[in-house]
Formats: sequence, structure tokens, C-alpha cells
Amino acid sequence: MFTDPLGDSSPNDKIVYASILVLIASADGELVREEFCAIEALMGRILIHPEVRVDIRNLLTDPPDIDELLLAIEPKLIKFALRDATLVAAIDGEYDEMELALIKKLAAAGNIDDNTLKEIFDWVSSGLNWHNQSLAILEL
Amino acid sequence: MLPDTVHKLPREERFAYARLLAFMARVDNELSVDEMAMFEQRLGTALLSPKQREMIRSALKTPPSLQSCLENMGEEAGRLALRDSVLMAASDGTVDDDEREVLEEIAEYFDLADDAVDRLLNWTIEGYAWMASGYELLNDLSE
Repeated sequence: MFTDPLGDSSPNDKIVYASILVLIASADGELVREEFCAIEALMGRILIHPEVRVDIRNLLTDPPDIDELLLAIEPKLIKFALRDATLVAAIDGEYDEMELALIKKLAAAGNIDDNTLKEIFDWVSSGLNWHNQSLAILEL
Repeated sequence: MLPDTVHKLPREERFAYARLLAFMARVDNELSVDEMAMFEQRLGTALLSPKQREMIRSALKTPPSLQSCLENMGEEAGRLALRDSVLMAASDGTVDDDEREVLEEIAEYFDLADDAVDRLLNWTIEGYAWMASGYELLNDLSE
């Protein structure tokens, strides 16, 4: 139920998608544990092979170039990368300027207008609220 | 993939948490792609070592007993594991009687309110709706 077409992408497309997430997580120069968790979860969600995940983790110390990734990514996947990059960027509680710049670049590459981008930000925000509700149910 | 506290738990509790999810994945004797995706997603959040992940994946083939999973978890780990067990159980679209029974057993073990499982199931449904709305938002862009 939580899967989407990303799960059916080619192994190479999955790598490019995950590389974009790494890039956004390392954009502000510091990688917090929550961002790392989010990337690990998103890689797990689309069932990237465990050995391939090792290579993707290594990109954290040597982040890829956004222009090269945009050339490599299947155009129809840009919007998914944008959605999940926005999610990763929000995970530490705020959007950094560098993160926003990358998000806007992804949006431009995917021909996504400002109104839709705002809807994606709103979607992320509602997801964070939803997730936090679980802690109240669990009395944590 | 959302901010969580699982990664802040001691390593042995994260391992126990993941073992419980492995147990949960096999309660109905089937392991769908959706369940596997949810399992791997939660495993990622737990930030286990590669060796521990390997051990957990093998637990999918030979699931541990519920009791052995529960006794190694503290209160916070147990409650988070219950929540994520609900997500696991519902990931294939239905929660069958066996899964429901196990969820109630976990809730009781960690002394949660009688309606905790129902509330978590409702929370899960809301989560699916949230995920679907994100997908629909992107789908609209293709039209």
C-alpha cells in the first residue's frame, strides 16, 4: 500500500533517485541522523539491493552533482524525486536555503509550477503532523 | 521515512524492534511485496548494522517466537514496535484475525489502553490516505 511506481523502476533509476535524496540531505553541509534515517527508509521502501545501498551511502561524503543527476534521471521520475527530496529536507524541522535551491531546481526540471510546489510542501507538512499523532496514541 | 525516535533507542532494542517486525511479517504466512517494502522501510529507520540487518532478514525465513521478541524490549521500543507492527499488518490492505490477535497481545504486554490497536489502525488508514494524496498530486502532473 505504501509502494508507488518508484518500486518498479529500473535499478539504475532507483540509484539516481536515491542519489538525489543524498544530495538534498547533504546540501546544508551537515547530515543529521534523522535525514540519514529518512534516506535509509526511502531506499528500503523501494527495495534497493543492500549492496547498492552501501554505494549510495558513500555518496554522503562525496555528494553527486545535481546537473549530472538531472541528465541521468528518467524524466517521469523527477516529480517523485522532488516529493521525497522535499520530505528529506523537512525532516530536521526546517528548510535550509541550499535545500530550497535544490528543490526549486528539481521543480524547474520537472516543469512543476509554484502552486504545485506549494502543494507538495503542504503535503509534507501534513505528513509530519500525521506521524506525530502516533506518539500521542502510544503515550510517548 | 518521517522523523522518528526509533533510531535513538539502544542498539539491542532496535534489534528487538526489528525482530518483532519480522515476526509480524510472517504471522499470516505470506510475505507480499508491500509487506516487504514496509519491513525494509522500517528496518532502514532503525539504523541497524549490516550484520544485524542480515540476521533480521534471515528471521523472516525462520520467525522468532513472539515472546522472545517482546522480552528484549523496553516500553518505548515496544510501543513503537506495536505502531509499526500495525503498519506492517495493514500494508497488504487487510488485517486478518491472526494479525489482529498478535497486535492486541503486544498492546496488552506493553500496558496500552484497550482501544490502542483500534486507534493505531485508524491512524494507519489516515496515513494511507496521506500517501495516496501525495501520489495523486504527482499523478495530476502527468495529465
